[in-house]
Amino acid sequence: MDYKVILARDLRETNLKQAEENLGIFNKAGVTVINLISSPGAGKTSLLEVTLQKLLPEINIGIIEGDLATAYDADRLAPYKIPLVQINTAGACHLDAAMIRRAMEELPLEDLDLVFIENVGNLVCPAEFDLGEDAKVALLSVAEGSDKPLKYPFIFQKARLLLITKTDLLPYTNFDLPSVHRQVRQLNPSLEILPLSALTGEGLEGWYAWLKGLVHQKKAARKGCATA
Amino acid sequence: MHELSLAEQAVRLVSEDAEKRGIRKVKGVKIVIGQLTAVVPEAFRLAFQCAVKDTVLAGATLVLEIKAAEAVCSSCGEKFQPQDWILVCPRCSTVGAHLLAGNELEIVSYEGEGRDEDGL
Repeated sequence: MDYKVILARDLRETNLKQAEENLGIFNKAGVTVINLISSPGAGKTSLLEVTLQKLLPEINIGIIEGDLATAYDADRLAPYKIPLVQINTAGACHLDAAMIRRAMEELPLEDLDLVFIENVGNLVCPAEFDLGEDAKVALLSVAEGSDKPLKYPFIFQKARLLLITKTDLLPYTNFDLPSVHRQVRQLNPSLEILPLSALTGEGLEGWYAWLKGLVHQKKAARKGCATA
Repeated sequence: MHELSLAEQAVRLVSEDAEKRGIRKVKGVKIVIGQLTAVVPEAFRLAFQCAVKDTVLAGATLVLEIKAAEAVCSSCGEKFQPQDWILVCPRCSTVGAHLLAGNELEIVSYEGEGRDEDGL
């Protein structure tokens, strides 16, 4: 006998539920979580290097590194002696919430203020998978060209902050910053844009201030819960 | 490439449900994909064929319904069919309209046969 079953289940719901559970765990520990998303080579690891140099030891930072293969990025960040988990996705083009749930077991969350998740270098797929982060931060490097927001709209819609990286290259390219602003206004009017260069230090103070704002907010929320 | 993750998720959800109901073979699955999702139907089809191997869905046909996008302007209430993620109202040019349809990624239904109590 044949049966027809009406299922009506969203294919993203399992990941979404896991992401909510992850966020609950991070919130309980008072840890702010940033999901860094960009194409390969936009400067995620370089940004993390300068950020660690600046914010340690004032802010306790942990890192989850996602890559298809190798531990190159983890090796680059090893000198900072911070809790770091490397996930090799073995071909998968993005991190998902279940991977983060396993990785966070390896981090001393109670001792941390801030966790960076460096997603797999890919401007498309990571945007579709929430991980339990407080904010997605997109990086677009000057070398990639200024036409990317409309060509890859998803991440620019989901991100809370857009970092235009490698601004030291601006004089050598035809990168059109006002055009990026125009495209972003169409896609996601609330997306903040911050141009910076990890090489020259331009714009980094704004990035640090943004991060500290989120960290303080989360800590305050946790204290509020504890006294309530 | 994330089509494979989504196809595996579809197979998992249907398999779990079929097992609960004692359905031993799934013959067809219907999935709706919104026009504005970053899912390529042909890539999803291929991924689905790979994901069903050695499951109760092996050999199941896949019906994909592509749902057109529809949005309503948050300012003037105009309904329109956006062709991409730029949700600008064609009447009053307000940005950021509310999406009514086009972001679906859902298993609608499946058909199975051979429940245990049928004695098959």
